[in-house]
Amino acid sequence: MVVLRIATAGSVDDGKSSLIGRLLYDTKAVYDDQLASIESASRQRGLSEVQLSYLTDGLKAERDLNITIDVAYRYFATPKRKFIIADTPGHFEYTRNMVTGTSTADVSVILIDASRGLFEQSRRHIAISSLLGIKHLVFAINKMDLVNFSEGIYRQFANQLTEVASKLGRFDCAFIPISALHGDNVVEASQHTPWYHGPSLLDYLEQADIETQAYEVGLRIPVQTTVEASGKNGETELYALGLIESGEVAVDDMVTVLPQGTKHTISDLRNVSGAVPSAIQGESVSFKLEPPSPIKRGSFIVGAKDWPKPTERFSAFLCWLSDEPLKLHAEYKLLHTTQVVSAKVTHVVNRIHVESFETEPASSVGTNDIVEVHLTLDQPIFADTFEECRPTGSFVLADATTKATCAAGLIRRLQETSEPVEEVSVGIS
Amino acid sequence: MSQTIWNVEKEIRPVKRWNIEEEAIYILREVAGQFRKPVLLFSGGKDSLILAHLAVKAFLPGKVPFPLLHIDTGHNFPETIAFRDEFANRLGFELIVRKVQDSIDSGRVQEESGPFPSRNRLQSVTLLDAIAELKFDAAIGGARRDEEKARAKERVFSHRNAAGQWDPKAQRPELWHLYNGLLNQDETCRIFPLSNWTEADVWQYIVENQLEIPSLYFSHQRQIVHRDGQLIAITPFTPPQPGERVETLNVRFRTVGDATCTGAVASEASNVKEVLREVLESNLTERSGRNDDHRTEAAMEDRKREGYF
Repeated sequence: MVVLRIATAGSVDDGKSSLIGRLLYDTKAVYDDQLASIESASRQRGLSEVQLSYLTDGLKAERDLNITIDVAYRYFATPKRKFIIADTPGHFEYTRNMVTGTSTADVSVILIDASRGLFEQSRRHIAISSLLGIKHLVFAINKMDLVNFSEGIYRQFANQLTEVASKLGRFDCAFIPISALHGDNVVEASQHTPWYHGPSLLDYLEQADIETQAYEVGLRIPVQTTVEASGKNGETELYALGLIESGEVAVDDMVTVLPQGTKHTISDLRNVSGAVPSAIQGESVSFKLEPPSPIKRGSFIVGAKDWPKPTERFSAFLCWLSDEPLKLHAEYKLLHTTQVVSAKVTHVVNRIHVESFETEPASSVGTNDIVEVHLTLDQPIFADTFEECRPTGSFVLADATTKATCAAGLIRRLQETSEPVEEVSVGIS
Repeated sequence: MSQTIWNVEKEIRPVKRWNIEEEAIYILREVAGQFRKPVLLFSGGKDSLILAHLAVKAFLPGKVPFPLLHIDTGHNFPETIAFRDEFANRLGFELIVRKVQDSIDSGRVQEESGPFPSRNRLQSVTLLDAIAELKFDAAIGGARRDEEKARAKERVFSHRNAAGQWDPKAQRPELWHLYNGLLNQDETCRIFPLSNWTEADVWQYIVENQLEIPSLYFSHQRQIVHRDGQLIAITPFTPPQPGERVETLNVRFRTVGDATCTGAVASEASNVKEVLREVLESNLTERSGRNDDHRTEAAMEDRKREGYF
């Protein structure tokens, strides 16, 4: 069954947890014992109504403080699709969680409180969706019951959001008037919005066109690990295991093994179901190389031509996730595909204002900042830009001492020579 | 025309959309690539046997590069243990067993007192001791995020400090499929390749791949008592209490953990397809029969902090 991955973001009071609770409840993904358990938790906190939001606020601290502090994953299914919701808090201090939850999403569902104005956090989620290359945005214009299901107010929000979204990226947008509390247009079409002829939220999610982007950079298989197996004459043969991140490969194809740059042909190709003549982007495969090559984790299988140039310096967007500020010129571990190298941030170009994409000078980089930086590595990697190929154009930085993940990176410009990276300002022209 | 950061409009070529099986296989290969000495936690239950089955697929035509580890509470159903041994043998896995009884005998843990003692919580100590003794740096488990609310927030690569503990507030952000398994001295990772599977996915997979599973999952006659709204099987570790009426019913188990905390459900489902239908129609989560989760509102969160599976 097709799996659709959804990122939601919202603040304490715009009804996001209620919306998710409602989706789970109305698609019967909530079991009686879960309902009994949230009923009892609601009662213990002196609440008269059952809090559907407790279905998503799983940790003790969240219930006590009445906030959502992390990314929670929720599952529900209809006969048409299986859905995975990455549910993240919307406050500025949780930009990092929003980035994390959105990194794997097909669709962003952005909640708007119709009884109030447009908040910065909505702009932030639109901007983050744009940065991470999400194509589909669904605006759930919530609390329509508090504004008498007014078409005028709905239109006003839709127009305003269309303008914001078109400034921040190129999206396929939908605007759905809902009441998460009462269930209007969440699963079933509402009687209260006769002027609205679009799908309910669930209808939209069931029907959204979610083709995975096919990358055009040629073959890219980072080797995850290797295994040995006995050949026909009892000799030991080495197999490479990896995911085809881009392109396609067939038995007898000529490929290049990086970093060596040697040429080999593919034999005994398998996907997860067994031996196959060819395989495409998105498949996990194993194969032998002829003549054999001393491949290991971190080796990179690419096409006979179309291979990425080695680079030790590039510019990238960083979303800073750690509580510790960025230390310029200090060593970090950079995880890129199946490699780990040492990296230093040598220059902060600017900070990107998350609500507008306007740039501002930055002298320091702290939690939740999105910045453009220059990085220098201690050894070359073979990469693409994020725009060309997301899996080979993204990376994370880990603290060299604690090994904790401290930044998400998106490669913007690769530099192949010793010239300084050209500075190009981002944002709206 | 406005300028955008990334041009996302591209010609569409056929690509394979990642499904949960591909994702799990990718994760298992990452474990083999990133860690020095991983181990697969195996109980004979359906989730861990799917994991073992996926591991076999992931490393073909080679062998799975890690052993199985079972933490035996001594309170298992005999059917589970027989299945475990047969399964490991048939698929050519090395099986390591560590016993909670040994942890009790050596004074590492104390048996619970009270009317319904369980060794479920004690397992954490035996597990952490086994990880330390055998110097494993990654332990792969079959936990799923749909099982329980604290698990819904746990990462696929879930970091444990040098004492084996989980800090839910200091989890490493997990982006794309770039899993950070970097560790310092004595730190470990728990790995959950089935994070995004649901109970229905698990049964679907068993049906589609015609996997053998322990007989406890199918309807059979068993002596039970009703206790706190649950059906408790009568075993040497769970005798009937004074005043309880022992009945014989057709039941099956939705999880096959420790007998002291695993409730049965009344069922006539005698094959995998019937079980799948029952799961899809059920109004209760599979852990509703696990009284270990019901002790307090955050029972699972608390146990996980201590090092539980």
